[in-house]
Amino acid sequence: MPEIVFDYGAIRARLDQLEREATGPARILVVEDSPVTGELLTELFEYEGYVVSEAYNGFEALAKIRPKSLTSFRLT
Amino acid sequence: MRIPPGIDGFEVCRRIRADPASAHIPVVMLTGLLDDASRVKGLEASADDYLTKPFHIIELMASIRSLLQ
Repeated sequence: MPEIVFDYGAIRARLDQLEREATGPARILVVEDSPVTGELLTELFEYEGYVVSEAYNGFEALAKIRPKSLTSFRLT
Repeated sequence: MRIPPGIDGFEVCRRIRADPASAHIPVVMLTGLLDDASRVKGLEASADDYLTKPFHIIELMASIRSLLQ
């Protein structure tokens, strides 16, 4: 009787890929008042494949979050 | 250390959580405030993670990846 072997790693990877295609890359909002640190974090996240927005203070952050779902990332 | 004018990160986090439209968004606080009281304040504001500077890139990315799964 033939043995059926499931490659769960491959199935998981395929499901992850389908999920990314359905929703697009995750978005991150970097909230940082220091331009140098903000730029560093933005480049880091973009390198990892995320779509990044920036805000330079709390009010700007809240205004940018409101219309869409974003991951918020705050530095004080 | 400079604290940004206006509302601070704790307050931003609280407001994100208070609005049902944004309450589900993961929030990671990355801060120069190293004391335990600040960490507790961050967690009380319902931040998903609270990392302190100088931050480790591997730790930061692990936190982000885990929250965005």
